Amino acid sequence: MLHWKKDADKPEIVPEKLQSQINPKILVLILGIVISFQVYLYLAFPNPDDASHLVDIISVINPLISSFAAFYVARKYWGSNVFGKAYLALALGLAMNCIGETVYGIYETLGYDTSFTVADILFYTFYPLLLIHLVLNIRFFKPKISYFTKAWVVAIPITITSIYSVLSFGKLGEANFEFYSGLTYVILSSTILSGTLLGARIFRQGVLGIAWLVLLIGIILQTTGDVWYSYLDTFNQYTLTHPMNLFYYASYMIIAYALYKHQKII
Amino acid sequence: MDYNPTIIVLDIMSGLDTLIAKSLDSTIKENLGKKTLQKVEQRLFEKYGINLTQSIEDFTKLDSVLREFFGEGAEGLEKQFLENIVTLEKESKTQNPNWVAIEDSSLAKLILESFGDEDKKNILNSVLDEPRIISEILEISQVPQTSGYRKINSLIDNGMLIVQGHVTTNDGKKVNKYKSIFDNVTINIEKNKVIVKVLLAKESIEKSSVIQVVQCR
Repeated sequence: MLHWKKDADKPEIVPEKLQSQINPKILVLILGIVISFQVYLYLAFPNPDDASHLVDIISVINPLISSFAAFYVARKYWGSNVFGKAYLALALGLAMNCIGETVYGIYETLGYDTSFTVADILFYTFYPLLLIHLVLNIRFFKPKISYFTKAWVVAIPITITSIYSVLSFGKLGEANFEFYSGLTYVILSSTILSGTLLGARIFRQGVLGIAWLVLLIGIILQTTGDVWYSYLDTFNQYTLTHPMNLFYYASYMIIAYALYKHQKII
Repeated sequence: MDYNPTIIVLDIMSGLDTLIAKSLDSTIKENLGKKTLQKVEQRLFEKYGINLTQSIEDFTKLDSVLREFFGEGAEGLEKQFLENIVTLEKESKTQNPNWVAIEDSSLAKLILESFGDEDKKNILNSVLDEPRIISEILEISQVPQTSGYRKINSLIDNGMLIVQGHVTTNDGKKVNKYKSIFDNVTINIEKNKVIVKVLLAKESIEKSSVIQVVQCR
């Protein structure tokens, strides 16, 4: 016997305009997960160093999921010059962070000095790869950029870097290795923030703009995490249970959500 | 019934758009992937009931669909489509602004093949200056009727000949007049690269919805 759906007879209405919305429940869920995890860390590990194994595992799994999501999207557009290559670059960048976290965890477990290791080089690699992702998209969809746009794209990283430098150098009193190491993260991170903002601006009137807006939220969190981490690390104030980690955890989840939105939209 | 033996309506099908349509889907596929092309085609069909090739002749519809997906990014996308196929020469005092450099190799090949064929070349030459009906074209170009009709149809299909008005015969039938979409063609060979430039007939540019949409920006 055939069972017809209740609304099977209703004609399908073609929407006048394509629409896609950010699901606030997903954002609340991500926020809930990261805050719950942070609270758990505080309660379960009064000594932050005891949390190292759990934090290491979460720090590896988080970019790993985002990387898988990006590879999945890249596979969808495999072989294409813009989407295919751009999402492959993003996937590789996220994979670099995942491998970097793994290497960092191994160094930490073996008791080696983690102040500047191969892991940092892998972390740095994330930024140029993300930049490739941004440049491929922006160059294709907006080949001509106005001087005003170029000005604010350059001004954002300069402003963030300058503020960071003044605050960090003012407190440190010298430009040592930690200062330059942190500064490098801030420069790279603020540059990708600026690029993502430009990308989100280009697509904002289209349905793909939603995916870019979500990506922008993820990158804002990543940049906030980078700037805060660099500052804390310069003054040896970073701990594994520091609330700053919330930004990193949330950023990867939101980037994964942005990738989900992208493949859903187009 | 009265009839006017002169041109009644200036009915120009945009031959340039037909040429552009040939390379459009491959450009989307190459840059954004097959799935993206399918999404765009699906939306074009559900919103306007047309396919991608048809949307070229009414480019505003394709533009609106691309804007739905990519927002302002649609402008860059459209320029890429066009620039992959042709480059509009910058307007200068010494150069006619309607000169177009053909970038797409298959399109350049199509033009070269058309001018390489003696009969097709004669057909195109016969309608360079003014539009003519097919019987006049065959007479002026001195091409035999059997192969002549086939070659004219092939030139129409490829967008090299465009309808420009028609005449009404004594028995009331309307017969289309055809004109070449080019006013002039130059072929240069520079470092093993064949550069084909065409001087588009003014009407071809005016009636090309693609160029009109892209140039308005």
